[in-house]
Amino acid sequence: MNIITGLINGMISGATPILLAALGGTFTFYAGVFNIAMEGMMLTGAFFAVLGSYYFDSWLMGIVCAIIGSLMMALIFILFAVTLKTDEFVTGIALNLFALGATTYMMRQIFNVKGAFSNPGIVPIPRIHIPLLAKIPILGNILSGQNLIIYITVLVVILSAFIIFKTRFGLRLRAAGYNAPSLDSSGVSSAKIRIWSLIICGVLCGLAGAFLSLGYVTLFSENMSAGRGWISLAAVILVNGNPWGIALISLLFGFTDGLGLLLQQYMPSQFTSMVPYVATLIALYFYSIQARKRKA
Amino acid sequence: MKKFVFVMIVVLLVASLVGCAPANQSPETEKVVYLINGALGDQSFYDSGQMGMEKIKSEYGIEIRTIETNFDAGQYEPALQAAVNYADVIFVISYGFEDQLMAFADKYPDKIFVNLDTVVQNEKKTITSVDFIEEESAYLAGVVAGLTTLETSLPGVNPGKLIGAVGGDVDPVISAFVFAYTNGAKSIDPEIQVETKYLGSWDDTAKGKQAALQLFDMGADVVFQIAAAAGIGVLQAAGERGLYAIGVDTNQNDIVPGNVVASDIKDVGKAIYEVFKTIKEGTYQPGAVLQYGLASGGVDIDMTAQVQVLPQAIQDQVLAVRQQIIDGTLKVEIYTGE
Repeated sequence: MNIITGLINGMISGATPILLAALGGTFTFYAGVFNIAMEGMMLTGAFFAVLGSYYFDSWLMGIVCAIIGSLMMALIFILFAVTLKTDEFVTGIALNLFALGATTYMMRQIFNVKGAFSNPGIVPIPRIHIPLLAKIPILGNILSGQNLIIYITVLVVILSAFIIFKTRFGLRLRAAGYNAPSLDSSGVSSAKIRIWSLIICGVLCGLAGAFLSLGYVTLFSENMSAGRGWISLAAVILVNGNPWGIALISLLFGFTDGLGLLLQQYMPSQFTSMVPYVATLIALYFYSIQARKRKA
Repeated sequence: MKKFVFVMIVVLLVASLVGCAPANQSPETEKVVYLINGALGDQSFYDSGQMGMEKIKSEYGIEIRTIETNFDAGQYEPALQAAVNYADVIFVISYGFEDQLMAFADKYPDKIFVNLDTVVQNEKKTITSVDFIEEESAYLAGVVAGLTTLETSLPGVNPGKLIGAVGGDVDPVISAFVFAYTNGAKSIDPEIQVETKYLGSWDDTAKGKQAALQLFDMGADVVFQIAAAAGIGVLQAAGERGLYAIGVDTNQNDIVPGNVVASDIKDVGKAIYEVFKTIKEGTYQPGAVLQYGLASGGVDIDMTAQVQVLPQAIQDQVLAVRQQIIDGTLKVEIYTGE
């Protein structure tokens, strides 16, 4: 029983950073920005989270700094891709590489360590214990006692779905992606909408980074995002940006990642490392079949 | 203007060539390079080598330089070339580029190559290999883990006889670690089971933590991390659950105080220092395979910590086994790839 609970908890915490970054990515996806910089934004967020938490002795400042750090990356993206109209793909790659180099450099300069910075002075984001839910047998250990960011993520999923599909901003956001000239001709600047989408993406990637370095573990290590931003990009494209779909894909990915580790009892580890990717491919297969049926 | 730029470039090129030339020829002060396949900052394996480099620098007043290739296969060959151009003595950790290293050693027979942690032999037999008998210290780590999981008076330890290990990836060194760790634990109680997880990564700390949490969920009370930087996630998992972990390569007992009961030390720095000493004293023999085990201090187990959780009885028992290995009365089985 313990193992199942552990697997589910592992799934939730494995999915959270991917899900947050992917939700950020979905705003830019709808706005028609080909944004691949989630990886870099997340990594920058993770670094500044540790920086803020360590120097201000407060996890809240950690989150604030993470968002500021990630927003700086988003602003660079805005400056180049939206204002100066450079190629989004190239800009994204540049940002990702820049984030990796810059965080590594700053860690070495500021904390005087290489590789990983772990220190008791870093204040982690607390877990939230919900008194009533905790008493439910089995489920109690899953519903209660999760990290604060995880509850925020649930809210963000609902909010994102609401904003994108039910509000005027959401309508304009989608219009900016589908048909920017007609949006512009109706008197709403599509560039402005894109800027807002990138700012939202920056905030959410900052949260994702803060969860990685202050929630899941309490340290910063070089390249600690470890490809999660790319997975989130895949999640966005896989389900055409639908927030609920993204949540499912992220959970599936988190689950299979943990499952891969668990299966090592029965299979060679090189094989189990493939599990998340094979599962993603299978999901992609079924999704595209569904999508075809809907079209027909 | 164009002409001026051209002239400037030519002048710079010539100047840089001239600038390089003396470095190739006249090694007045001895220069030593530490060339590693990974990067410094793991707070264990590579950093320990760096400490050895600092030590020979201060003791012998030589120039040192560290070249990190950060697991980038494209950099291995240029890094070797740079090392050969710069230095007379090259300490190298050559996972992944053993073949290039052999080629370079054959091409530059006057340079001293010391390969650390694995055995690499070139045709001309000029590479000296430092081979750590990691089985001896991993065996002791297994003894610590075995004694800890049986000591139910320690907070959090359950009656089940399960211990865990988290490896970065499946490779001969990690397999040797796990092999000896298992043997060490079973020497305490043959019923002890060892469960191992491999991350497929040496820097994904989150995954390291997840793997350790899974092992704890399965009922393990002690997890041995053999995953470089990713293993710090293992130590934090132990802290979160109030259970126990064993660190690797350097003393990691204070990273999560009270939860890291011991560290399996691989003293790369000491090996560098001692090999360099033989070079200075003229007793150095090219092509030798040097075995660094417990007796020579190349590997060890370290239980000193700010917050000591292991009862004195366990520590004494571990130290007794350690003494037996040093005396040679206990032979630790060497991993041979099954």
